[in-house]
Amino acid sequence: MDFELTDEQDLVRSTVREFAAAELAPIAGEIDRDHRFPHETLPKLAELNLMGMPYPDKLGGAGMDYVSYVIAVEEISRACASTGIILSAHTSLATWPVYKFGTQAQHDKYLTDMASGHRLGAFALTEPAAGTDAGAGTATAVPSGDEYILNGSKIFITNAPYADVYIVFAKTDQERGARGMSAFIVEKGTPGFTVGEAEHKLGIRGSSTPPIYFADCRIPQSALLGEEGSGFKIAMQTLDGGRIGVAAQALGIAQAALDASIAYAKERVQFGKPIATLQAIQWMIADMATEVDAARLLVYRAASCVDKNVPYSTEGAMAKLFASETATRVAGKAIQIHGGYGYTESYPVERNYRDAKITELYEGTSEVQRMVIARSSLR
Amino acid sequence: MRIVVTYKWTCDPEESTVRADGTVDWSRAKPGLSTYDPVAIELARRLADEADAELIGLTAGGKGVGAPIATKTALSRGLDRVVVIEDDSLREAGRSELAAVLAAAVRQIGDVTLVITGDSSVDVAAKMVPTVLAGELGWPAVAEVTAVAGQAGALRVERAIPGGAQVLEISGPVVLAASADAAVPHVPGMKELLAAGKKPVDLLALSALKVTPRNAAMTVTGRSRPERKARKGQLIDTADPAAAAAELVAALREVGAL
Amino acid sequence: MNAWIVVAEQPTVGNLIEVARSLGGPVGAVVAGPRSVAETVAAGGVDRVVWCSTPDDVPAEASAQAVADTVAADPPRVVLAGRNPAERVLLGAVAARLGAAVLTGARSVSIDGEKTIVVNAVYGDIAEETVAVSGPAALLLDGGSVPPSADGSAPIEEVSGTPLALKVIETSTHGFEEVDLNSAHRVIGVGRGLKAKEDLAAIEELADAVQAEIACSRPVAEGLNWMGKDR
Repeated sequence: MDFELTDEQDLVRSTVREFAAAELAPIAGEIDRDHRFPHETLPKLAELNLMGMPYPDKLGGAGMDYVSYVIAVEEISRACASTGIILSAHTSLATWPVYKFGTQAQHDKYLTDMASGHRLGAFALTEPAAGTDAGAGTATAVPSGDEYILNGSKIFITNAPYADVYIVFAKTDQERGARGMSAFIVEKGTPGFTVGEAEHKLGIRGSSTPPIYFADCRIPQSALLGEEGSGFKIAMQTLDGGRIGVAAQALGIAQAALDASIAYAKERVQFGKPIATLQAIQWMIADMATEVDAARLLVYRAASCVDKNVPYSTEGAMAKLFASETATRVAGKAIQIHGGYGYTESYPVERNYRDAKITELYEGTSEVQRMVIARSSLR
Repeated sequence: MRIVVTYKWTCDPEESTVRADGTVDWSRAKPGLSTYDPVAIELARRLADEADAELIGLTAGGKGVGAPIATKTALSRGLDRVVVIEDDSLREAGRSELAAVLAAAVRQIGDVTLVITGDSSVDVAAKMVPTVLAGELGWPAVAEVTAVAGQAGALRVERAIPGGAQVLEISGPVVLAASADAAVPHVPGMKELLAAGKKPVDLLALSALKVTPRNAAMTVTGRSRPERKARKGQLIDTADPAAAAAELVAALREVGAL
Repeated sequence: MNAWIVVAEQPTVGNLIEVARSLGGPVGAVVAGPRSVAETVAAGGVDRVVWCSTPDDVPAEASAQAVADTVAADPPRVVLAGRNPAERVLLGAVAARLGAAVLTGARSVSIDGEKTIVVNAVYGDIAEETVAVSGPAALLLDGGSVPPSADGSAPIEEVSGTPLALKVIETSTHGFEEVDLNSAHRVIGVGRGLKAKEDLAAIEELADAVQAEIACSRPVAEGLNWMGKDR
């Protein structure tokens, strides 16, 4: 069992860290305060081939392994969690189903542009009344001649309205429950497709998450992704991989909070000594360091399963569950270590704290992850 | 046409600790590319692209400088290939000795008309290796270079001088030491990282090089850790500007600065 | 010769002359730059001055081989130079020609029989080593200020060899007043805590009031360009 990263993976970390320090960290606070989507960052990510890392080179991606991808998400999120989710939602949630289930024509039309980062993607599954119970979605796609007519609304759609390509899940057969759901590729600007106002969120404020609406939106038959009725399965499989990306984002947030705490504890002097000399602080740091390292091992192990082409559903769930709860805990302790200063915008830990919570919620709440893990354990 | 750019694979002294006996403990330091070498490589890469020249990275040092992580990191910054002299006897080499080894390698590579180096290394920061290297080659050297254009044999070089800047015309082979702000190095993309692993690495044996011998020898007869005057680290709260100003003046008077 | 001093363009070599003299034995200076610099150095307490004259549009670096020739013809125990770029280039050529050992952090230099003993700061000054050099030593030191005139003046020998192929085609000034921080009594250090260039005015006021020079962190000079790099 080799716990060492390869040279390439080490190089991915140091290179993405360099990029994150130069391009992401300087604006992370500002895009959070202003709830601003960082448009200017997308071409820079694309230029470094970061938008489609795990996809083959000849399909526009970087042809890298999943562990490298996860390291990149971690380093990006360490500097800016909003950018981390913008990228991983695009790469894992939107691009992956096109890659895995798309026809040759759909690959030609969308995949290269998405994997190379020239067109941004979004994943539209969640509805106002269908979150964890995703199969209960009521959006419909009614066949009509050589088209489908989409109706319904989706909420919390990461990357809307800036995304060009939306993977939309809607029922082609209302009688069969989840098994009546199908997946579609819908392009921005299609008549009948509108985007609402972005949500004001607790954290990841640089990420845009508005509701989107379909009102008699006509899409061609060729927009069907996979087969009619296989939409739910496509969504679940997509989320299996996507949750490893979120786990990596949580890991990055946790690491940022830990790094900040270590630096602060060494500098902050009380009672004539740095607080890093106090056992109370030392034990907090020890617990934080151990949890972050454990999270890292789970996240990299899940990514490694993807690379080895072995099942990764349970492993991904464990990684996401643990890394997200770790991020929240570690960020909370980070503020504690910073004391009153940690509660102000002058230090980054309050943003880490606000960013961390979402990782316990999206791409499957912690409750869903527990369901997946329990099902696997009690088989 | 060949351009050589020298680089260093070494540790940052910030990650080291100095023991009470004056010896330096590097065990917790992770080696990497010397901080400003990517600037030199970036400058050299742009020039090589303009002149359609081959860009060769060159380094010499102790064990580890030829390791795949070291060569791949250097190659990923934009080199076409690297030439590495890895010999543990070079670990403690003086600046003059190192320069002589690099000069021998430049002669061995052949057909080189331009050598670009960084400003200074992150660890030793002597700023002398490029100038001794030039002396060994019998070439002129220019330091604090902020811009280069043209072809070897007809180069236009901008460099900083006390009080301003100067543009020089250089019509023969030359060693140019790049200033730390000569260029903003591009961050390599993922495809560049993968390609780096496939580029050629030439390991040259030190014994095979014709290195001009030194006429001087250095022996370290003592080591010490200088007394570091502790920083006062006094932070003055500026919530009340008038009170803060009074506190600052009092503090400065107390330490004798005023 | 016991000690050669290498001078490029400016006569700020007072400290080098002092160190050279402290070693005993004859002290020579080889100068690349305007004749006035050679004259100032000649009156500064050295025994011999060789002046490498070049046309006006040729930089000091072009005299590197001529300087090396001069020193090699009368080889010394030590060669000293200041830290400016041109001086480093000339010292490099000399070190190569002599096969000398090079040390750049000398805190003190002394003699012990055949050996030259240098206490040398290493790795960014975090540690110090005492080094015994046998054979010629090329040392980089703080040049110091312009040397005060001593009694009498050394003769100036002019040499004009073939300069290396460098030509100055343009010179510009950056308009920052250059200072010697080393000779300031008080220094105020500033960094990126300053939000805007305009805030420097407040610091300048303070500096005037307490008679201090202003120094800055690297980003302020290099990235932001609010101050000259000599700060």
